[in-house]
Amino acid sequence: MNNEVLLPAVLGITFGLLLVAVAAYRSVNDPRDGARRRAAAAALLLYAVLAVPFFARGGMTLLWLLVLLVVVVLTFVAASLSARRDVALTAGQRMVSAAVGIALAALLLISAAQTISLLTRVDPRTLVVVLAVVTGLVAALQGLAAAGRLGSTAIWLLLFPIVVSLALGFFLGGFGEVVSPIVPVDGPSVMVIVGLACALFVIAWADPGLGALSRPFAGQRRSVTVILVAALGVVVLIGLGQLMFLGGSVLAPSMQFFVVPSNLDIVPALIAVVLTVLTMVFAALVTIPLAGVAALADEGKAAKWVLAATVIAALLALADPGAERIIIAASLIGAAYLGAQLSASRTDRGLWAGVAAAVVGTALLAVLGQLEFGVVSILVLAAVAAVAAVVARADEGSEVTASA
Amino acid sequence: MATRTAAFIGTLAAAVIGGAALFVTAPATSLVDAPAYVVDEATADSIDTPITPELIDFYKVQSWQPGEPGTLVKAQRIPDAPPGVQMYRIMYQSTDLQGNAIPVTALFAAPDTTSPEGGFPLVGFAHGTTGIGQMCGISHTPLTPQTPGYSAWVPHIEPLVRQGWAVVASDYSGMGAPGPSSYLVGPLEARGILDSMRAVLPASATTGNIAINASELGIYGKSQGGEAAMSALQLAPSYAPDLEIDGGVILAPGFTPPIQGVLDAVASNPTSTSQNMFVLLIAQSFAENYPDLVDLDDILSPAGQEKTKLLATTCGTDLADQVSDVPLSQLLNTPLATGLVSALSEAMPGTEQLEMPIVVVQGLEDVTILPQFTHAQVMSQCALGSTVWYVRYPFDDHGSLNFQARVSDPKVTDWMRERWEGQKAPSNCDNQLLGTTAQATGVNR
Repeated sequence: MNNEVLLPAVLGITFGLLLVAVAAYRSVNDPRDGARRRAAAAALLLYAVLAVPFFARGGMTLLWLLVLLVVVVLTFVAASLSARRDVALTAGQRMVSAAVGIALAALLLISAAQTISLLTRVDPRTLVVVLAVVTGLVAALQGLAAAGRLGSTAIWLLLFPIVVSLALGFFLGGFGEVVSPIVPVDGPSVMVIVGLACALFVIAWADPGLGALSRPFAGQRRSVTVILVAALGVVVLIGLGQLMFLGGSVLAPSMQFFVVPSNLDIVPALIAVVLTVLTMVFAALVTIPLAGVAALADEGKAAKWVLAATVIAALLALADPGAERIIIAASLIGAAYLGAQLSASRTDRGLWAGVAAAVVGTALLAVLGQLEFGVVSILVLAAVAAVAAVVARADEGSEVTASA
Repeated sequence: MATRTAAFIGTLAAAVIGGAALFVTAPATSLVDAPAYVVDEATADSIDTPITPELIDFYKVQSWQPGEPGTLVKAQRIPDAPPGVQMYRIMYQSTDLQGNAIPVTALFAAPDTTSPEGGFPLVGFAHGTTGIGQMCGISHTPLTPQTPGYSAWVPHIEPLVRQGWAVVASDYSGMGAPGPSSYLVGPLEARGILDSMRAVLPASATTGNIAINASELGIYGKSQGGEAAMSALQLAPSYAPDLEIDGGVILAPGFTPPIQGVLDAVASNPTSTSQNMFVLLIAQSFAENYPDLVDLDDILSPAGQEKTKLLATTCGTDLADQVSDVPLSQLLNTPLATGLVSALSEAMPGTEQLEMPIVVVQGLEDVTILPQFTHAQVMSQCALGSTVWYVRYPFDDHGSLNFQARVSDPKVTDWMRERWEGQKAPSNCDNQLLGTTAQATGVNR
């Protein structure tokens, strides 16, 4: 990159943030079904955003792209199964679900800040704060409606990277390389991907944003298909374009991966357009879990919950203990939620036992230097869910005995 | 309704204030406000490389006894060294990509004074493109103007020695002693550099008993050598864990992205000749080192193959001139054979986090090394979580940068010295939050 791009980049980011405001407040009515389906697709796409780095680190080929799709589908299955449980959430479950939403918001703030600042030289810490303020405001004041409208807009805006990616692929690559890669890679570790899939499954089970946005469509085959096609379509089309362009495997970070971003200054307005799209999409993705937290709050307390969630997410993002660590910690909390919910207990004793186990498990993994995806993280995940379920069942049993 | 309007206006205001905050708090640019360094005509002429040296007996290997990588095999004092400098040609053990022992040669120079307590700091220097022929290494005639050795001595090695440092500058495999040629074959260049440093670490009577401080090591490379230096830094923890390298200086590194479309676009240009020598050197070296992937017949046209005969006998600008009489598109078969892309992806560094800090310096008027490729490498390293200090000079080209990087703040020599003093390495990677090292994509290591 030869030219200074700070000014056009900042203008692009600012324009993206203004678009967020306009999109969030563009109507006094609730989003229509189409917009809500697109928003649910965006909420699902969030998991692809979180998962892709783990695939690309070792090199993502077509096969691994297909595995990524499976991981994303599994998260949707988790959210759908969770949404089908027609039981009102307990106070504890709402708090734990909110904690998972906070973790997701933090992860997306980190991802947004690192990606955008790498392209532009803006300070990632300032970006975390700015994104948190704007998304927190729209989530607090507009709730799920904001997530619906922003998510829908984000899906439309993703047409831009799809077109760019496919154009690069077709003009500077070829489909033959997708089937038979010319850039050899080791691929990601199978256990890492299995660990990631398990963690994301559990997180999706407790994800307040995806849950709230997909729940209205539970059991509606057509809507579910539309949501899946939209989310997976974005992943497949961008992925295929990149695979064609990069010789059949996406290895990131790598020099070849950054060849296009390093040339964004060739047209002065290009960087601004790219940054507008990126800002808008990331803002939408951050808003979704925060709006999910709003949906969990008691009547009249949504704004306070979102405010608290935003502050905690921003602080967590600034501290940046590492995406893998945050995902594992969030998944352990989510496992407590899942275990307690599966036991169908009407009290929170099992849930809190699971949360305590999650805290102990996280600490244990940290001490053992195992806060990374693998067999150990999966075992701890299962153990936490089991503790929550067993304690909840025991508690339920004692309640039944007592009432008898 | 009024509340909603107020909320909307509040959000708009937050967006605008946020944008302003982003602009105000942006970190300092990596662009240095410095005019181009002007290389005087006499110096520029002297470091041009139209003369191909003769191959002297030192480089001829009659009988070869394989040994431990990094073992000194022999040395020869270079007479008529400038005052205050002692210089040697050395031959040492290294390994090829298959792990076979090979001889490699280097230039070893140090101040001709009593070493400081603990010994001289040691820089492993990696030179830029001079060819791949046996006589194209820089240890052959470092004091003879208009030869490859002089082009490395004047702008790089002598100034480093004048800092009070010892410098060992590998010729790379095949560019002195016989061996596979190594042009942009990162892992092979890296072995040559790392083993040269090992070879001079223990003081030897054959090299004047020069004492080296094993806790003050650095690597410094320019152009091809920038890529080689980066490769050495990446390979060091696994290949030479005994070397505690404190940092690397990477000047206008010659990275080639393994992207078929990009390479085809360069190869298909019907008018350009500026890349001819580089492409022929790559083709020959990669065919030698990756025979399973790269076949010279697939890559080069008959005209291109004819030109490769010059690679064994000619060096420097003489070589560049002789292969630049036709457009590159006439020397290559296009689209390029995919095996070359595969091999390049294996040879190029930049996919692993570096354990030691680096400073990367690039002139933006450089037409030999595209600044965008350097930028892409810096982005990758920042995303990997490496500690990178990135410096861009807006008006310098490939030649003037050799001098500018040392004489204009922030001087790379100061940066290197600060690493040896144990100061925390600066980083102007823009993607890192307050936490641990970070990847751009949101994954930390």
